Parts: sequence; C-alpha cells; structure tokens
Amino acid sequence: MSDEETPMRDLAALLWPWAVWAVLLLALTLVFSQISPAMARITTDTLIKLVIVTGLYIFVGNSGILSFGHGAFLIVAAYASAWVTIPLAMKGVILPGLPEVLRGLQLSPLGGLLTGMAVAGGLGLLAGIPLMRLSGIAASIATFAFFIVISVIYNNWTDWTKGTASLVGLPTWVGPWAALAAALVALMIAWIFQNSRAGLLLRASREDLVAAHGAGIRVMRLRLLAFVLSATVAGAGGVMLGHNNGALTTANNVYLNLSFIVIAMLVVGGIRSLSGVVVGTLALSVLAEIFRRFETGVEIGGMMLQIPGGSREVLLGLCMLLALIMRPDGLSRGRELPVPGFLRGGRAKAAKTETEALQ
Amino acid sequence: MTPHLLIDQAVVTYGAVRALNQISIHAAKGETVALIGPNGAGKSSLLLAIAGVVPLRSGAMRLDGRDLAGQEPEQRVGLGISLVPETRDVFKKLSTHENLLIGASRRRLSRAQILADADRIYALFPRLAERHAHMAGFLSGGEQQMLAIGRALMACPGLLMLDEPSLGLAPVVTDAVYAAIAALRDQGTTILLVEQNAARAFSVCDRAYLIQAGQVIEEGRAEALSARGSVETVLFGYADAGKEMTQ
Amino acid sequence: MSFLQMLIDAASVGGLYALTAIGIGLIFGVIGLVNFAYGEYIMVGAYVLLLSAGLYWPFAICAVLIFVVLFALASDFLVFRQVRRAPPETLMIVSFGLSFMIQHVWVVMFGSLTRTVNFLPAINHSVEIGGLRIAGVSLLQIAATVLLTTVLALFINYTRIGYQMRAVSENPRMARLVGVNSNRVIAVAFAISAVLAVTVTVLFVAQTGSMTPFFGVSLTMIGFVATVIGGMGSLPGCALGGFLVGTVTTILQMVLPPHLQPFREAFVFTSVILMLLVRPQGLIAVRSAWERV
Ligand SMILES: Nc1ncnc2c1ncn2[C@@H]1O[C@H](COP(=O)(O)OP(=O)(O)OP(=O)(O)O)[C@@H](O)[C@H]1O
Ligand SMILES: [Mg+2]
Repeated sequence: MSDEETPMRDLAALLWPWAVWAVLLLALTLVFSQISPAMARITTDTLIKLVIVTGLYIFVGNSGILSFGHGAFLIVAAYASAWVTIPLAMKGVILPGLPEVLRGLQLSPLGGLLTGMAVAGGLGLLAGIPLMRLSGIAASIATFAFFIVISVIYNNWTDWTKGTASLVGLPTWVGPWAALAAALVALMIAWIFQNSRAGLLLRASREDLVAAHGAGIRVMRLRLLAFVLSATVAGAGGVMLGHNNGALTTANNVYLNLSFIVIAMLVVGGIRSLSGVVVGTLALSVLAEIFRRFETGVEIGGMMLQIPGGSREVLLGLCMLLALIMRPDGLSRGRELPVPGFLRGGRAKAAKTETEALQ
Repeated sequence: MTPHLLIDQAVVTYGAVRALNQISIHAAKGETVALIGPNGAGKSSLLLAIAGVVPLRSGAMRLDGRDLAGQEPEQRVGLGISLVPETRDVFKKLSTHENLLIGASRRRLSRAQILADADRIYALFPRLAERHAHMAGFLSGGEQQMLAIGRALMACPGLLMLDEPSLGLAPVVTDAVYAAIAALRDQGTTILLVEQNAARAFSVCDRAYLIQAGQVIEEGRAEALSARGSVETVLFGYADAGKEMTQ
Repeated sequence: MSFLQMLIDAASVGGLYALTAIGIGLIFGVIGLVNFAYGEYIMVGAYVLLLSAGLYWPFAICAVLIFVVLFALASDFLVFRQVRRAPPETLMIVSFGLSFMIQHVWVVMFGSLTRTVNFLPAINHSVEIGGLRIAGVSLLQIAATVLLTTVLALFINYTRIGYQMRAVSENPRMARLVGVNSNRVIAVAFAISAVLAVTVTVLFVAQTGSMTPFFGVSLTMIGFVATVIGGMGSLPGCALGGFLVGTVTTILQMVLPPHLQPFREAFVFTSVILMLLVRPQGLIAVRSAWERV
C-alpha cells in the first residue's frame, strides 16, 4: 500500500457503512415515491422517523442511557417552526395570542427548520445540565418526567399552541426527497459523532463508568454534548413531521405514542449500532403499514380480513416485546456493517491505536 | 453399586475459556472427597455446575443414579445438594438468624423444628449464637464462613460441597471449621471438599482428586497421594509457572 | 385554608402517591425492574370497577382485586420471567412496551374517550372534625396508607416469604443456591404490588369517577419520581418520596393562580428534577436491610 493512497482509503472505509445505507435508502425512495402518492407519503413518513430515531440514537447508543424524553424535543421544535413559518395573514387569525415579534415574523422553510433545531438544542442543553448528573435508570426516569413537563405545558398553553385543538397553516414543504436528504444528513452526523474522539470516549465510559472517571474522562460533558446534538437532530425530525402534515396537535397522546414507536424502532433494531437504527426503523415501518392495511380491511383469497381500529399499536407493542425477548441485542445484534476487505488496512490500524490509547 | 454422585465427562465453558474439560469424578455415599488443584484448575466451576448455577456444555451428572440435567438449583437443594461457595455469599442484609432459617427453605417443616435445627447449628458454632441478631454483613470473615456452612447444613444435605472453607481464616477458626467437617463426615454426610491446603484436606478426606486445567490428573487415597508427592508437583509446579507469567 | 387543613390534604394525596411508589419500589427492590406497566394495573382495575358498577361495592372491590392480581401475575409469568436475567435497562424497555400494549388493548376494547362511573359517592362527603372539614376519601386515603405500609413492613421483616424476598433482592443466585424458589417469591411481590395498585384504583376512582386508558401514565410517573427521590429501592424512601410529591402538589394547588393550575404537574416534576440536582442519589441512600426491599 502506498502512502498517498492511505488517507483516501481510510476515508472510504470510514464512510462505507454510511454509504451503503445511503444507496439503499436512495434506491428505496426512488422506487416507492414513484408507485403512488400514498406510497410516497409513507416513504416520507418513514424517512422522517429515521431522522428522529437517528437523533435518539446519538444519545442512547453512545451514552448507554435510555431516554424517554426525546418526544419533548419533537414538540418544541415542531411548534417553534410553526410559529415562524405560518403565513402572516393566517397567523394573526389562528394565534392572536402570540407576541408581536413572532406574529410579524415569516421565515423560509429552512429558517423554520433551523429555528426548530435551535430551540430543541437549547432545551436539550437546559434540561441536560440537571439530567446528565443522574445515571442509569434514575436518568431514564427523569427524562420521562421531563417529557411529561413539556407535554403538559404545550397541552395547556393554548394561546401559543392551541393545545389539543389543531394548529393549522404550516407550509407543507416536506416530501420524500427533503426527508431523504434530512435522513442522510442525520445518519452522517450520527456516524461522524460515534467515530469522533468524543463519541469513542463516551462509548468507553458506557462500558465502564468508574474506569472512565479514573482515566480523567469528563463523562458528564460528553453526555451533555451527545444529548444536545441528539436533541437537535431529533428536533429536525419534529419540524419535518409538522411540515409534512401541515398541522400540529397535542391531542390523543400523539407525542407519547410517537415516542413509543421511535423507542421501539431503536430497540428492535439494536440500540448499539447505527445499522440497527436503519434496520429497526425500516422493519417497524413496514409492519406498521401492514397492520394499518389490515385495520382498513384486506382481501385474502376472497375473504375480507379486518382487525379492529387501534390494533396496530397493540401489534406493534407485541412485536417489540417478542423482539426484545428473542433478540435482546436487537436485529443488528449491536454490530455495524463490515467494511469489505479491499477497503481495510490503514483504518483498522488507526482504530487499534485509538483503543490502545483508551486503555 | 451406583455411586452417590457421578460426574461423567463434564464440560463447562465460559465464552472461549474451557473451565472443565471432560472431567469425570465420583463419590460414594458417606465418603469425603477432596479436590485439590492450582488456581484456575476449575474446582469452583465443578461445584457450581453440580449445584446447577453453571450449565454443562456436555457430559452428565447423576445423583443416586438420577440425571441432574434440567434440575434448577433450588430443586437440587431439595435433592440434598448444598454448596458453601468460595465467596461465602451470606445475605449481608439479613440477620444471622434469618440466614440460617433461609437455609431450610426447601424443607417442609414446622417452625419449631426449624428452630430446633438452628439450635443445633448454634451448638456447632457457638460464635453464631452470640451474634444471632446481628446483620450478617457485620460479621467477621470467619464468622461469615461459619454462617455459610451453617446455612448449608440447615438444608440437611446428603451431599455437602465446601469451596475452600479455610480461605482467609485464622488457624483457630480453621480448626473449628475442620472439626465441624469431621463431625459431619462421622454422621454420614457425603462431602466434596475443595482446598488449596492439601495437608489439611488430607486430614479429613478418604480420597482425593488432583485437578489441573479442568481435568483429573491423579486420583487416589489420601495417604497414597501424599506418599507419591504428586500434590507438590501439581500445586507448586504450576504455581511457579503462574508466578513467571504475572511478572 | 388553615395550615392543618393543608397538612391533611398533603397527607391524603401523599398517601395515594406513597402507595403507588411502594408498589413500584417493591418490584424494583426485588428484581430491579422499573415497571411502567404498574400504571396499567391501576388502569385496568378502574375498568373492572366500571363494568361491575351494578354490584354491591364489596363485591366490586373483590372483582377488581382478583382481576388485577391475576393480571399482574400474568404479566410476570408471560413477559418479565422471559427476560429475568436481562440488564435493568432491557427490563425497563420491556415494561414500557408492555404498558403501551396494554393501553392500546384497552383503547380497542373501550375507546380512548373518558368513561365515568359513580363508585361509592358516599365517601366523598365531608365530615367535620374539630372545625376542619375533611373529605371522607381523604381520611380513607390516610388510613389505607398507614394500614398497608404497616402490614407490608411487618410482612417483609417477620415472615418467611419476607426474608426470602430480601434475600432474592440482595443476591438472587445465592438465594436459589439455598433453595429459595425465587419465581414464587417474585410472584408474591407482584401480587402485593397489585394489591397496592387496587387500593390506589379504588380510592382514585371513588374520588374522580373518571378514567381513560392512559390515566395510569401520570400516576406511574409520580410513583417513579417518588422512587427516585426516595433513593431507588428503599421502601421508606418510596413512602417519603410519595408524601413529598403529594405535599408539593398540595402547596402548588394553593399558591398557583387559577390560570396556572393546569400546569401544576409540570411544576411538580420540574421541582423534583431540580431537587435531584442537589441530591442525585435521592433522599435516602440505601443502607440497611429493611430499607432495601
Ligand atoms: N464467570 C466466569 N467467567 C469467565 N471465566 C471464568 C468464570 N469463572 C471462572 N472462570 C475461568 O474458569 C477457569 C476455572 O475457574 P475456577 O474458578 O473454577 O477455578 P478454581 O479451581 O476454583 O480456582 P481457585 O483455586 O483460584 O479458586 C479459570 O480459568 C477462570 O478464569
Ligand atoms: Mg475456586
């Protein structure tokens, strides 16, 4: 192997799993968005979920702490983007309770996206400072309490959110391609973070907290960094959900259910690898769609099969339980896609020195 | 005659580590059998496998001819198998007395009978009687060892397995523990005794196995083994090698 | 409202929360499971009350008791026993999935809208004691809390199953090695936690008369938070945590202006999260034997 060749090959080896997923997602989007408008919508929805699951993974997968609180970031980001993007004429009518500054503000979709992400990230920082002091299960419980705090506030803060009524008028700029772009960027961010020094150190601390402290790793800071990054990415997903539907509501526990689905996607795929994120999201999306079809009725061999409305959630819950019982490490077993032989070499050596440095 | 305990070609692995490599041993009813071997030989693994907390990869274990496969640890206690583990594992947050009572979990007895049994243990180890209301976590190492043995005896075992009962004990306490072992042997309990201190084990046992790397190297009556000097070869030959490796 | 009145309110709300927290803390103490489905034990019981509304009330309560205890045992047998050796995080996720699934089974069966039942309206009447007007249900809540915690403490400290439970909690492997049937002990723990859940259900439904398939979630959350405040797994800690959350709730009820009342829960949880900033290990660090379970 010549010396100039090494950096290029390293980069290629580093990007390999991401590139494989990117090509796969691109192909799937290309096919499914063409089949029918309904299929295109499902594709969009799946890709947005992928953004959210990736966001959640950035924290959970690297820190090892389960978060039940990421639904909060979806809520704040979605509403923040709505406040700055609903057309001025409508905003005055729908949300007369908004302060002057916001009522007169109209940003582009990108502006809304960035606003939403910034609000989610900011909230992540604010909430992360106390939450990251806790460890293990106590931390997970506290993240759920945090979710409830945010959802109670948005549920009752009707001047700004219309609460359980619908907030309409969001520009619907999100389609399969925008969602694909967001998913690819999110996966890239997650992949870079998990291979960065911070990500590797955080993963090391997950295995052995005491040793990490002993080695002088500032675990709290790393966790906080992952939490904020994770909130920001999940927030992007939240914004896109709103601009896909064109409306927002806090009724019917939508965000609680959404949190469940997203967590289920992550654990079914396997919380320890980015490949698990993709696999879990795709698998549960397909299942959810199949169950939805059955709710509306499916004809099989002349027989009309129909399951009662709402069974979809029951079946998804069941799938998650079965997956956890039979494959507690998730479908991916916590592994990433292997890098093919022709790309290996320099990169493997680098990784080895990195792990040695940690020890 | 079928032996009381029969281990046939047992294999135990932990991931890639093979702790027991097709080991076969047996013990007759009422016999006291010592297992001697260097660190890491697989002695504790053997006892844990017999107790049922470590699964067998292959091979068989029989108690009075009955296959132990599929028997849960708590069921094996019911069959008369009791283990005093190397780590003692007294329930630190239970009182000494409760630790004894819990040893009788598998026996359908009245409370009075259980208390009478506990009194027998207190007679065996008077130190425990003095400390019966104390939290077991506050007992000294020797007291904890007595308690662990007492707790195992509360199950009225037909087969008692002791994993290094003298570990870390003062000589006087070791004497007390060995006196108790001798008494049990005389009552007809089958005993499997793991010891580093071979001389000590030979003082009570009928027969011994020398174990190394998960296999039996030699087996025989205590006197014969000490006369041949095999113990020294196994224990010290290996111990020296171990020392070199750690340096 | 006088200080004494507030104290009684705090004790009665706190009692309900304490019972919830103890039910959760007991299971956590014994098998390290943070049981999200605990709220569903409370919730399904409410619907049994709804269905048995025509019955004479002691029969209705018996029906709830039987159903919920069996329900809790089934959840252990069918689900949690399958993942007994999994790490606590996995257990927690499993219970989260189970909780979600049960909620939606109930949505399919009963719809997601609020259902109401008029159960034991008599106990909502107030009685006057020394110039204080106290709702009957408050008195019942306080009495039930005192009674059940006392009985539970005696049970855990002085019975055979009690010390077996403490042993399983401390060292499950060794407990089996001395012959403890740990599955049975764990089942007993689930049954006890179900009894506590039924108490909460009855008091809650008698007081509010309404239910949705999701009403268990916030009670579970309060129970969790109380458990964390109490120091994870200490039963007196759980009780104390429950009373603390109850007190904070009562105080907020008094001092918050009406337009902020809907946000009360948010204030409660925020104050708790902030409290954990000061004492991340909870109020009581787990120390002695009796505190553990
Ligand atoms: N839980 C475990 N996981 C992995 N390896 C184990 C485990 N327990 C034991 N081993 C390995 O199995 C082998 C046998 O161990 P075992 O404890 O049975 O030895 P031993 O003869 O009791 O040693 P000692 O005299 O030091 O107590 C050792 O190499 C040990 O490292
Ligand atoms: Mg050993």
